[in-house]
Amino acid sequence: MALLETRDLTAFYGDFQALFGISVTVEQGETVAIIGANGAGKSTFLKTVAGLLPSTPGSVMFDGADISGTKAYDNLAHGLVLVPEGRKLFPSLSVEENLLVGAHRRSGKWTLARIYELFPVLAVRRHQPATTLSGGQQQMCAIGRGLMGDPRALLCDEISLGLAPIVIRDIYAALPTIKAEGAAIVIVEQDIVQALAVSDRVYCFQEGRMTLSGKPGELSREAIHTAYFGI
Amino acid sequence: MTAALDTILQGVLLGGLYALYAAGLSLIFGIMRLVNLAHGDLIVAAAYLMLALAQYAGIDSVVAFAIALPLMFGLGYVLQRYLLNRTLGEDILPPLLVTFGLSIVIQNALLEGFSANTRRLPIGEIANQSLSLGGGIAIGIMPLLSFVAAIVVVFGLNQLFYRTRLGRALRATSDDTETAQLVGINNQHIYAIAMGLALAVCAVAAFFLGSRSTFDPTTGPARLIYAFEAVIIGGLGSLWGTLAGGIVVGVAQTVGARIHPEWQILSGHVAFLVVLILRPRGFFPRAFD
Repeated sequence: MALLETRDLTAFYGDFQALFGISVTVEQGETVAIIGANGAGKSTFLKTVAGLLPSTPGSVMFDGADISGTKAYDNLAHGLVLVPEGRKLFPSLSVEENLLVGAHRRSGKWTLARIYELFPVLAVRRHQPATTLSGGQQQMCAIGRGLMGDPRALLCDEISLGLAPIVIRDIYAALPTIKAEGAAIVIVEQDIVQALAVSDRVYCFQEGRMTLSGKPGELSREAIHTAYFGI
Repeated sequence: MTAALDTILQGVLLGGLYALYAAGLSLIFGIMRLVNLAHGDLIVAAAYLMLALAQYAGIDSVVAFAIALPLMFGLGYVLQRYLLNRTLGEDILPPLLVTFGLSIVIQNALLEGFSANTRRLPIGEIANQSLSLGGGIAIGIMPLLSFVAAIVVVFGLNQLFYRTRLGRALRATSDDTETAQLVGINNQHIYAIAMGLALAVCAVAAFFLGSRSTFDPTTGPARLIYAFEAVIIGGLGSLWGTLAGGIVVGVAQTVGARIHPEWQILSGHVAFLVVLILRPRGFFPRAFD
């Protein structure tokens, strides 16, 4: 049984339909990448799965249970964790407090010490306000905050957005350690090369519809190009 | 010289009482940007609750306060969870309208239940006792206690905010409600706890309001104004600032009253306007908003 599954998932912003019947499965311990251009519905997909946006009954299953319509804070209690786009650290909390607040509802394998081991730069800046961190460090802190909630599925929204290549490499270097703890990882990426390099499977979205899915090694450049741009 | 010192000292102590009125208001605005127009009436309602307990159950006012404190917390929790949470959103008007309505409902319910007579919490001899500081200056025991209570409340709330897991959740929710949900914080529950805390502080304020002076069902709105002034003078979001703001209003009022008794209330408002002109964001504004 899949850990996370969506069945014909739809999402709306008022009258505007953002997702048209998306069906995705994520197995235990698997890393899945979702690629697509701006406005393809990738972030909307993650937000709907996490419970920030409403979904119709039976459209989101987590660990065998129907979690569609369940609030994000209750989903977190079962280990479904979203690292939001744009980091979204709490500005009035220090780096360490941002990490600690990640364990507000649920904690487990990941402790402060282990986060600092994974991202040593955070340990140095632990007592600084989170806003004083560089973009890359903020992203590390946001991932650390997510890990503190002991994710069984970690949804990462655009974790490389706006960062220098060398910083992106540092962040992606942490993925194998996170994977080793058994968490399934879903990454949303605009960088196709990065997405293909780290994922076991990849889905491509275009204008709210899924246009391609498969294993990275089995997808041709042309197929991805067509699925991504639609031409 | 002694007279001036005495006036300022009495004003500072009065400021403690105003800070108690304001602390709950500041807390609520800081966490959920909710302006509670019924705040003053809730303080008066708490005073009547203690009065009812003291008179009809025949218990001591201090015991009545100890009973009212958790009751007010509970009332705050329920009020926020089942009524005010429904008014929160992009539009700032619904919470204003609902709390304005609540203010009218509370005033009229109190009028119906307790009549328009002015009342006072019976606390015995201590109400009139004072402490001589020498040099002809004496301070009342109750004003001193209310000032100490204000410091304890502000210190306690600050400790709660910056040293506890609950405080961290409160600050995180205040920063960003959506992201707070992503770390497992139920914002509806957190808001309800915040209102519970605010009304518990209202109970403290009510005890000193009721024992230091008289009150009637229409006393609330004026307390709300003083509380607002204290919060704005201190700077939104800073509890120590709120204490400072309360002291500014208190000192201005006693100085005004010393010059001419009719100027007491007016000079408090004038001080508020002066601060608003010189420091529009108050003394200790938050670094970001």
